Amino acid sequence: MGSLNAQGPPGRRRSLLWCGLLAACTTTGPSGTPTVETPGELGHGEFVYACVESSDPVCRGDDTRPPFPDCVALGGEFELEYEVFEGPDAQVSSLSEEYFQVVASSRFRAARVGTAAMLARRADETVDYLHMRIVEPDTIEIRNALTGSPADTVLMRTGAKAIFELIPISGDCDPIGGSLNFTASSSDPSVVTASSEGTLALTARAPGEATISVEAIGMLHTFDVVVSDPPTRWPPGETETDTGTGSDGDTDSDSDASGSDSDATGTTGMDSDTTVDTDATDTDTDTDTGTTGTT
Amino acid sequence: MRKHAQRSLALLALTLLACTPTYSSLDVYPLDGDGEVVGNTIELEEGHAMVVHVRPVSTGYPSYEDFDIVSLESRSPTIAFAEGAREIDEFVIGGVSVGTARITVSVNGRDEDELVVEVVAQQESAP
Repeated sequence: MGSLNAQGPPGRRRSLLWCGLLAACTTTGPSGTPTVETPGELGHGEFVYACVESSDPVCRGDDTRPPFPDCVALGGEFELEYEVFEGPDAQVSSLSEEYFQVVASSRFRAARVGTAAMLARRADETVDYLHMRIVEPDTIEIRNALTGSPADTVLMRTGAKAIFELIPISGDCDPIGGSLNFTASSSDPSVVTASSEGTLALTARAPGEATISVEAIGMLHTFDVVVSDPPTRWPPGETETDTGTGSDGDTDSDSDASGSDSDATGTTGMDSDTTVDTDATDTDTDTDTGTTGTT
Repeated sequence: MRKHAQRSLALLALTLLACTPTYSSLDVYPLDGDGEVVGNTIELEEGHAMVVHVRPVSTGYPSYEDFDIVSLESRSPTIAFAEGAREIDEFVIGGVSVGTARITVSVNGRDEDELVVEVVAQQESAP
């Protein structure tokens, strides 16, 4: 059994001590990515889990101390490292690549439903191991990365961009870990294009309607996108007083928080359902001051 | 003079032989994990790892000590994984894929015995 105070600076030793007392704890990785730790089954150190993408449920939400995932989604990718309590460093490897494929150094993909061990090895010895469960998600939710709203029917303005994440959901396992690889396509790229590099990015090209198809681990999801031109600008000096309840009486959740776009004016009445206007990355330089941001 | 030297060498050889344990069998038992050990046979599910204690047993005096080096080598690493753990005479055995693997056990660099590892399918993922 390794001791808790044999290696590392005092701060790290304290961290390890607390982590040893708690089942799992959080730190921040060197690159700023959230990490969660859990002791190895042989007690010689800790396995450190890091999310590959923000879509990993472990790293989502406001929980500053997310628990170590009980399991990983089939097809999910994650990073796993090991911090040994005493002695030279150890590297994490997969016992069986039928279950956890090695994608890159310290990066793994869950390839088969079941349970498999991750090994912490150094030189010619195995220091520790950790069994991790792989489950097939019940469903995959596509949510707006900014607001968290599900993608049902998405309203966009020409030129706008929107980012979505694919979140694996499992009733059998919570929290479930892993970022999913997926493919995405648009039924009409002249209206809206879709790219699938880590997150699902939509770019509205021209007014019209299109269907976005997303496939991950054999599950196909579709949703519609309606693209419209930006509304006519308000005359200089006038401001819109829309409070977010249009003529349809709904309560939209427009997320123009980070955009400088002020075209939010006058769009409220257009939104007729729970869709989310996603101008988060809009770089429109319109100087109209009539924004309300509450559409 | 030459005869005396030969007698001395023979006596030295006999003394050394008398101080070396004579291999008899293996004492194998599980320390951690869900696998089962019966004699020299280990059964565990694919994907699973366990720790076993493997210690040679001598036929008589002297017995094996901690400084006697035991090492394991899987002859079918695609089926079973075997590697030393941190403690003396402790080894991590892993089921890589379904099948039967033999693991050579050597003591002080000499092959003495073998373990049989039966890797079975996981129950929850079995068809």
